[in-house]
Amino acid sequence: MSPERWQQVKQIFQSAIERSPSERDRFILEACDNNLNVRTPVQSLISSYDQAETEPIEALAVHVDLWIRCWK
Amino acid sequence: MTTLSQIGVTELLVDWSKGDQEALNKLTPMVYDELHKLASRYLRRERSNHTLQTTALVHEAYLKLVDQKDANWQNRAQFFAVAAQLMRRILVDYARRHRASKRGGSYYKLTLDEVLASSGEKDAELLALDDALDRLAAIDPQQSRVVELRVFAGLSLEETAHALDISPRTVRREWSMAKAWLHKEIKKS
Repeated sequence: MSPERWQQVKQIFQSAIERSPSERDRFILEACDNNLNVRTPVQSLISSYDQAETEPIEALAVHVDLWIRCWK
Repeated sequence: MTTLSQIGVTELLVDWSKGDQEALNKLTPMVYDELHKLASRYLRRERSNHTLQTTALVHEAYLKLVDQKDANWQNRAQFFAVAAQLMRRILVDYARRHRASKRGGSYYKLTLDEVLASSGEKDAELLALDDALDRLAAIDPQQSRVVELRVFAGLSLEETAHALDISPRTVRREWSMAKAWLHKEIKKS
């Protein structure tokens, strides 16, 4: 993705997650204005965002002690 | 007690904050050596209940290398910014070596528990994160730095904001997007 398109996706994604889940879909549709090059990555990020909340990446930092053990 | 290396590192941090890029070049190997030494020491330790977290390791290096009297919060933030990058490099090097040693007849003695634990998944996950962060840095350097500081130096949202000189709100937004994006990228690999 080009940095320019990334910035568009970022703006819409970040505004979308500040809205309630019921308002999100409509907001994304309006904000992307039928531009699939932006809408598809935004929607994919939103679904990943919901999953990432249940498996937070913070856990990676905590895993470090396990990695270290494996490397002994 | 202030040590010789503390004087060196603290002065270099102060010089760097005044815009001296050469100070950063001198500082980097000193911080790398200390982090590497601390990580190796933890590695050599027998199995114990002690858990290593990058956060603890980076903080230990900071206390050892920086004279608290002469360093301000900016110097502290800058130290962590450098340390996070180096910690990432050290961990990725370990993961690569570990993976290589498993491929070609390991000379490491692993207990059964460790063999079970070291299925390679963790190595793969860390290396996938490292690759994804490189790709992210190419399109959004700031977002990639936020992740580096949070994951590899264990900084809080506020500390990350200080280190990058941006608002905590921006950090929170960058972090939310990075988590979603990385989650997708790491799953894909």
